Amino acid sequence: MVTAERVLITGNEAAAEGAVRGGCRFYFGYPITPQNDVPEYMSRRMPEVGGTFLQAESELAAISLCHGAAAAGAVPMTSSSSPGISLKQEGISYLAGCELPALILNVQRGGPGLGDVRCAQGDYWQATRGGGHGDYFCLVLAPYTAQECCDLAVLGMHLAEKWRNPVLLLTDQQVGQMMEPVTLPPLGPEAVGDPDWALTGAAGGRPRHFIHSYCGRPNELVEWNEKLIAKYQRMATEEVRYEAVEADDAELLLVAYGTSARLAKAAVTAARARGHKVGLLRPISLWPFPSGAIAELAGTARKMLVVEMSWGQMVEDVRLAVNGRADVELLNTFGGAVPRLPDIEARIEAMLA
Amino acid sequence: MMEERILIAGAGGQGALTIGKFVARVGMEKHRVTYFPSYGAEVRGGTAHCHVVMSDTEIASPVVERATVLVLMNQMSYDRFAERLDEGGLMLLNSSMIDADGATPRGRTVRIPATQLAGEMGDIRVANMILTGALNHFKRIMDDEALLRVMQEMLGKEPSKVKLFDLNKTAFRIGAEQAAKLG
Repeated sequence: MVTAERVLITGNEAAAEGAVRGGCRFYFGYPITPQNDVPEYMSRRMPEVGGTFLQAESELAAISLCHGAAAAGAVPMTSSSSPGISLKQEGISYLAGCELPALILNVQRGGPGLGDVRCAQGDYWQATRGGGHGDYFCLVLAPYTAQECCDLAVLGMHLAEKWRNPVLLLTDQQVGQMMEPVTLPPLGPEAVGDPDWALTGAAGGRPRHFIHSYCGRPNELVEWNEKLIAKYQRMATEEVRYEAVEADDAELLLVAYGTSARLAKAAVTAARARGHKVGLLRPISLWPFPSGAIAELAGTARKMLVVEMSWGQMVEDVRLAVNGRADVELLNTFGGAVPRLPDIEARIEAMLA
Repeated sequence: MMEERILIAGAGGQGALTIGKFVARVGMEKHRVTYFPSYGAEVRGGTAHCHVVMSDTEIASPVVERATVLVLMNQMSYDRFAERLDEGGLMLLNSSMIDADGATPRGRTVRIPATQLAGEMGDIRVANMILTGALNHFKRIMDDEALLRVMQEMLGKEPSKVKLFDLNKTAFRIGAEQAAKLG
């Protein structure tokens, strides 16, 4: 349905089209609900922009194809949903270890194990703590509308290339499968890695490049880790993103992302209409987490309420940020259930009483 | 403030999801909209349903728990979703495939024999567009220019699609006329 520039599409399609417009010309996928419209969309879309679509034989193959394409100077994309993302973790660790760019979409579903195909946010820890083995971080972006799925995919393509690092786009079943109007940005040129490091067959007789994560010489891995850690520290200060809604004078601050944030935002609007000083801090980057912004608000907001669809994962980052200076409560659902607006409103009333 | 929470359900193949997508696609020109289809543990022969929310303010949840409009296309959909009608809501029933009279103290029930009317037109598949015409008679959520343009966009503009477009356009009009007779 990409005829006009303002289209009605799913969050999944918006993420796919955003990646394309951000310069993605290589997509490697494998089916799993609730992200199947991403590979379906890309199978049509990639040939239109002269790109490559390939359905791999497994999730591991798809992420390894990303590794190969990225090493050769592309900024590739893959997508999956929770159990499939677990299967990709080896490859994501290798991408980070080799400093290779890729955009990875996780449309979260219920877990653990095969779980179910409904809405969940149980992959927060996996996403924000690297996910695979070894010390590393992915940049994690969390859209809450179809428009933001598109915009953050464009940004994710740019950040992956800028930092030579995997970028995770973390959504959920509802954000992914819901259709909303999306204003599409212009189609950008193909994103390419810097020929200073990409493998180009030593074009022009330049010295050979060697992309690897194995460091066998004494002290080599220490130095390599020091270099990566310095990069993550820069990312942590430069790439923090969040939206603050009525937060400055809020005595009670809600913290939520994705589908949970849509409901939390409505609860804030309703509470303000009743005269309560309630606000919302919506992390857009989950790593780096907007700890500084939350810590600052902890002076005014003596209470915080984290709304999330897990047993309580992001709430730990909020507690770390607040460091005891505010009471942090959790309102959560899990197992495929979505928080209900009346329940959030009731909890707000109870916390303010 | 305008807000409609619309739930549309029918048997797979009756075009319930198409109604939802169509309404959302036309509605987005003037309002904020979300369209959320049912996926997951649906079985062959079961119901297909979707949720459309249309509002002038930001939409929190795309899921319709209490519907201002219910469009129900077969008995199974009626049995499953009729209770979701909100106070003062509108329930549109395809009376060709639903036995119950659908009377409810919560809101208004309108019975349109959509499948029968579509059959008389020569194609039962446009029953969905007959119901959409009726829906628009009561709710006026789509203006005539936009809905014809979007209908053509969704069906395709190729010469081979002209007949299909005319058929759907007529079905929409018949639905609106039937609804007008009921007031």
